[in-house]
Amino acid sequence: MSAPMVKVEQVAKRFGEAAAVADVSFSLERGRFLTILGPSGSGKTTLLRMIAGFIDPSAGEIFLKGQPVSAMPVHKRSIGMVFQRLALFPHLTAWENVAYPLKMRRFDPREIPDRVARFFRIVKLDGLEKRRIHELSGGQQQRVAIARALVFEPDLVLLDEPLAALDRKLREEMQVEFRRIQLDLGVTTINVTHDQREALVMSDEIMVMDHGRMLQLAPPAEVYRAPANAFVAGFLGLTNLLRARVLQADGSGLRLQAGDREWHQPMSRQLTVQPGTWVDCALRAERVRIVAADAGPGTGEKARGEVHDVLFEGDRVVYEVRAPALGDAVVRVIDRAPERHRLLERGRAVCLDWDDTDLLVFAV
Amino acid sequence: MKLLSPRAVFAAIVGFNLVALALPTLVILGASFTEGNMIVFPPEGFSLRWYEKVLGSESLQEAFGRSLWVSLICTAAGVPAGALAALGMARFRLRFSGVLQIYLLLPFTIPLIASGIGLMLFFGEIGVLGELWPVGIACAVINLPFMIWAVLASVNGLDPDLENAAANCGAPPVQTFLTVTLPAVMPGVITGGLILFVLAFNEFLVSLLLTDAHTVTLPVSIYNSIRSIITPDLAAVSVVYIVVAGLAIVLLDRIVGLEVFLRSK
Repeated sequence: MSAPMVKVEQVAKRFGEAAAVADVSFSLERGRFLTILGPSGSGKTTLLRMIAGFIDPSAGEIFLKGQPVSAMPVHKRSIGMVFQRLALFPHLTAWENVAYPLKMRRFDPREIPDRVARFFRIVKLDGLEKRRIHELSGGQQQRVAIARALVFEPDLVLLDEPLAALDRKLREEMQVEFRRIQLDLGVTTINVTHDQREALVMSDEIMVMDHGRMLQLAPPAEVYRAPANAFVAGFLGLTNLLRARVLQADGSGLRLQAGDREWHQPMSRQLTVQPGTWVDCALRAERVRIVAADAGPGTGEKARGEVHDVLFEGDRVVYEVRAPALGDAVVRVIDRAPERHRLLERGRAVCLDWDDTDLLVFAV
Repeated sequence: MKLLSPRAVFAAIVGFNLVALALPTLVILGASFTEGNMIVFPPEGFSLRWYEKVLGSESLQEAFGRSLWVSLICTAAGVPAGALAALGMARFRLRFSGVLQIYLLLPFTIPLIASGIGLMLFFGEIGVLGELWPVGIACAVINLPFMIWAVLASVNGLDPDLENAAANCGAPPVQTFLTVTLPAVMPGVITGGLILFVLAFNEFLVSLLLTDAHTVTLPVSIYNSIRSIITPDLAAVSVVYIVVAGLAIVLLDRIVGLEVFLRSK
């Protein structure tokens, strides 16, 4: 049984009074791709920089291949990193940038040219070796930075939101491409991002952070389908969050009230809440069905409302529906097949419906 | 009445500025080629006789050599001191960093005559007054702010993650400094070094106070001659100055590129 590639044990970082990272523990097996997902200020970059060695943890220990690294300086760790602003060496050519870690890590000089050439092919930059950094486009610089981080085949690669600065199309291409390279090389990777799509697309596992705490660590589909709490539910996907009061709780479920509406909510999992307390209800926008109120009978109805806004996005339409019965909440609804339905115009009275199992209830 | 177009006004202002900036140079350049015995503009005729005289003058040649030596000492002392000071201030969150910065820029605010007298007393006390190298040191001290500014401009433009990236690539701290930090701030160091060199080469007031009859530098030597009789050979010497400054600019452009210098924030 070999040790996991990375193990983080109760790591915390305080800056003065404020805790940037609080008591985070996880481990990552060889070859896995983990994305740390969170809003800015969630502590995700601080955590990444502690693993790289730029910041010392206030408490806890980080292990690489089972070895504690707290006493190991940055340059002794076998970690490659792609920086947010890339941090390529401006006075060196693309080739020299990629060869730099090999020289510093004392690779056999006879081996360096072949190895650099191989990584230029991997990132599809062959032919541009002689260029200076400022002579390359943003996307090309990205590739140089990736090659520099991978060329010495480190135990671990860290990505500090390097794709954030690219325009959307290029960013999505790079996500797919980096994932392909990562799988080909089998390199263990930790990525930091606030982009939920990037996290879902690239990762084997997603760790959601907020306020320095780890909220959930699970494969993408699980984080999406079974969020651990209301924050995770709200951060991934388009989610309606509704505060409701618990009127009654028993073995079969909860009796909840929001606005004027009272309903029985069957519970698939155990949630211990006392009557009189509040809960958060999360409902994915794509799980809500919407029909015009005058469309006639045939569908169920959980709430009535009025279309407040229509956002036509081509492959989908997002409706914002004001529902007076739910305490005047705005419910967002995604219609994924707008070409098959007539668009509902602003001001239209509509009925909303959803399956009970799609409403997720979290203690506040 | 028809108003002048903004374009014409703009062109006139630019033209006036260009002439005003270049005028002293053009006058002195013209005067140096005169055939007569008086320093006049426009020159009377054309000859290189005053250049011949300057180049033949042993005392001027010696003064030129001494100025060169002073400049070299000033550059050699000022470049490492200023570069390290600037790097230190930018890289480490020093306590009293603001105070330190003002302190290091202080030489700039003190009248040259005051620092000159202070340095004269100091060098006199330690018994080196009258030697040449203290002049170079003095020039380095009073011009250090230029060096610090030039390097600070370079350092502040650097991505702070550059050194982290070097460490992450496996470079120990000394290697990081030598292979990444230093080359990245090199444009600032070269710029500052050339400024130091030219300023020391031109330095008059402090040299006047620190030199004696055997160690006069070129500006002091010129000043001494003006006091007797103004002849066109002074114009020729001045042209030598202009050439040296011009060479420094060409050098700057060749090594770091003027756009780097002009762009430095």
